[in-house]
Amino acid sequence: MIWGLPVALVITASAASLLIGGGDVGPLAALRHLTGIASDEHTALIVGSLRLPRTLAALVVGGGLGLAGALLQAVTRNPLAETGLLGVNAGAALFVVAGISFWRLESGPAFLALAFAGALAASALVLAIAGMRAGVSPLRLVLAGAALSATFRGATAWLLSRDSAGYDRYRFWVLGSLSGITVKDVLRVAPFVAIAMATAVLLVRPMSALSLGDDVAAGLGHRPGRVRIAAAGAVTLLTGAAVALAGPIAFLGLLAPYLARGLAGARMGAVLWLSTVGGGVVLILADIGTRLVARPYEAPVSILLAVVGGPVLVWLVRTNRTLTLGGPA
Amino acid sequence: MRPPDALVLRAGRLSLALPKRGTLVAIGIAVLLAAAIVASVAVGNGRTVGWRAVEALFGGENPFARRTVHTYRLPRALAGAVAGAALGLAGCLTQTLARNRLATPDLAGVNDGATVGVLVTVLGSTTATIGAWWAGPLGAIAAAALVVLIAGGMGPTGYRVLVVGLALSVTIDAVTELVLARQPIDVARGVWGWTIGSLNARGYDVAVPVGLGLAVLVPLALLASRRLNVLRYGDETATGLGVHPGRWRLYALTIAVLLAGLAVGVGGPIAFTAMAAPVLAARLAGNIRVPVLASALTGALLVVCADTLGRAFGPVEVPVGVLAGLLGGPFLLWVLLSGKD
Amino acid sequence: MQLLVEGLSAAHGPRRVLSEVDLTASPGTVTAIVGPNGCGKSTLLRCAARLHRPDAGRVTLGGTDIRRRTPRALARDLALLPQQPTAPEAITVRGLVAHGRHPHQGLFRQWSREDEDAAREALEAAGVADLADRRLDRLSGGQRQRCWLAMILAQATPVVLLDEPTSALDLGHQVEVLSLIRRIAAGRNATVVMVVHDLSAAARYADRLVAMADGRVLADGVPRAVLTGELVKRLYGIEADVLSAPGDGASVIVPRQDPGTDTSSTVNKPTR
Repeated sequence: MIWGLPVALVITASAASLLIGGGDVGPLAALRHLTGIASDEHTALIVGSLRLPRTLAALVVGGGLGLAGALLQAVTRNPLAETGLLGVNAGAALFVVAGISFWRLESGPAFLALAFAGALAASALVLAIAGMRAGVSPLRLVLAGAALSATFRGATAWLLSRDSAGYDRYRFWVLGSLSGITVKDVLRVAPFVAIAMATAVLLVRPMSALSLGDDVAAGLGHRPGRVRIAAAGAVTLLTGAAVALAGPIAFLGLLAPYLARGLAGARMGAVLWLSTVGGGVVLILADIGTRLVARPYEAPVSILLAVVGGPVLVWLVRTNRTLTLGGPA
Repeated sequence: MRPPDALVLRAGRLSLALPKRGTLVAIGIAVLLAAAIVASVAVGNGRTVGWRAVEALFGGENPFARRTVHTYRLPRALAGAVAGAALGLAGCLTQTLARNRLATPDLAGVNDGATVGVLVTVLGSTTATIGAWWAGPLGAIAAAALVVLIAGGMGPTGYRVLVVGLALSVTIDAVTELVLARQPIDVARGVWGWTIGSLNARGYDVAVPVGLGLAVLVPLALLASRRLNVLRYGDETATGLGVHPGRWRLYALTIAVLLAGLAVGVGGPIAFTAMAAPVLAARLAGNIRVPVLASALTGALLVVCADTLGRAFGPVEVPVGVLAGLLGGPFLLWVLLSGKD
Repeated sequence: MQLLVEGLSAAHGPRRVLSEVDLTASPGTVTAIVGPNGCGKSTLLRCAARLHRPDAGRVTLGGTDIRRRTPRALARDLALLPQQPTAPEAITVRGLVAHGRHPHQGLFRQWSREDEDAAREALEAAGVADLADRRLDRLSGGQRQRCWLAMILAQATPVVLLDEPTSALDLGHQVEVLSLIRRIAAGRNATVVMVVHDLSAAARYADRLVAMADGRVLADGVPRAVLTGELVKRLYGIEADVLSAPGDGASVIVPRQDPGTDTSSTVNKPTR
């Protein structure tokens, strides 16, 4: 149930994403192309180089953010933690804005590289500071992340307040979008996502031990500090890849773990898996929505996520099945 | 037996237990705050700086210097102080009620609601300028009320409200960003500049209403502080000690939202103060009690210092929100890391 | 002050956990509620402390419904020790016990002489006076539990509810804590109701035993009269012998080996 059904959902959503919207090719024509019955160059172009990259990107970004959110909420024992907490989004934004205002960069690949570098640098700094002198406790991680995020946001605001043209570009980047991503872009970040997901798989057992408290985990032979660092590292890679590809999409990393916990309760492996799949499916659906609601224009994906996901989160919280984390940090 | 760190005063049937360290720390921060306000008055453009300004503040002869100090600098510093105090106290209340250091009033939708309020006045006006100061507070309080209404109850440790608030603010935020992206650049920049938080050209017109609000709300918060101390033991023990957790959480949240909403009317949503001030105050005043007063004073000190520094270097002033984050972050880290545990 | 539970029914969501439970607890006695996990004993205690809203029935204290009282007024008459109480970080024993006086305090009555005396007596009675300035989180489990009991004692209520007060303690500390609980009942003429897991401990330290299963009371009375092998079987589904302790005559429960699942019997089975 928990393992098979989500895979079916992913396949269905991906297929829908290839068939619907984004260019003037109808579902039927796209279906004929995909099944190899009949095809023409135009359809091949639309499906292959427009819809396929978006679908892949939505899967990577959504899955990554979902997994990152679940990992982070578990490791900080804080149901208010979202993926930007470790400074990842703030660092990415700072680097992108610095690129805009110092070197007048505009191209997609440059933004991608800058955002990823910023995300990694910021998160590395957060972890280094949180782990300084004493072990990485949830509270230190949370506070260090929030403090450095505030610093980076301050620096970003400072750069933008001096640069009107820079702000003009920034306000579009910050909306986040999946359009214009190429398969090459996705492949560039794919290795990092793969590493992070492998780490997450290895972390399932130590993290479920950690959810019982540091002492219990230590008693079971795990090292709480190292588990937290590894999980935070995976979160960084996942969120960094996501923000590099699609800009800062904040909400998904919060929504997906709540969905997963609502379905799976407190089982760590199931929560991580469902959160990953849930993130991917939700983002694909939101992306299909962006192509449909304001045709022929596109609505930003963050809006759709928020407008659809907001009520879902409210419902989850109101039905009260979601607060199964340990004590608050 | 005495409670820890308490000075017990008794007269007949009346008795008071004053926290020794907490009171000393509060007095210390208040002195620092006064010094920071004087320093803030002494910093600025033109010739009325340094000692000349301080002289004018305490009744100097030079009429021009007096005018500069008493019509611009002092009102601005006081506006910053009341905004900071309101934010610090609001943060202290929300962090205590949720027992979570990440819980700040903006999680109840305060900042995003305020931004919508301001955005509406800007879009509604023909001159594309920020309208009346109360647009922000009105939006903030409306958003928070909506959050509580949708949540339909505080939930365990207030999480229901906070998560619903988070969901609602992300939704509002996304819509706001979309609206901004579709607006002419000067309108968008104007609203965005407001969201950073700035005390530029703020004076008694905003400081007085917020100050009056503080005069009512701070005593109300202090009245609740003994209950807040007990709430830290969790719902079961608190109930056992006669403190109705849901009721007092809602009380604390209401005060916090009103405070944060008012503060937004002064300088926009000044970043980070609500989160950092209570953490710093707890470090200074100790963990025995909830540092209600110390959080307010620390918040005021943070904002006044950030605003002063923003004007200290060069003719172009750096908005207070920028510096509050830029300097408050490392400062919080330093305090955090220098602690023993 | 008498604690009276009449026809109490309660549910967790759709699941019924208490069905028309009656209970009377009198001053100077310790009442122990026993039963298997999930039998509703904790919910019963939570209803009596107003932590859980019952669907039907009522709980009265000295003749008045507890729902008719303000939380503070109730807290002056009824104290509760939760199963796993949490304390703020870095709190000292002194701070913990001082908070026990909270329901007796007000804006201009923050630390009266009565507060002072009650807190001191509580520290001494619980034997934690020498720990007063230690941090609670640095104490051992047994010491910590006595500190929590000191807080409950400082509250100085005629009724005390305890949810598994000895669950994580070793034998020595268990005896220490249970003796302390007995002294609360005897010395202060308090009405003590506790949920306990250990049947033998309940039999030895309680004046009355209330056995529950599936949200109903199966037996209620003096431990020696109530506690039989048949009751143990109905409660837990196991065969057990109820013996009389050689020392003080209290009932002791000794589970019998279940022949079906016992592996040692197959290994050591004597050949015939």
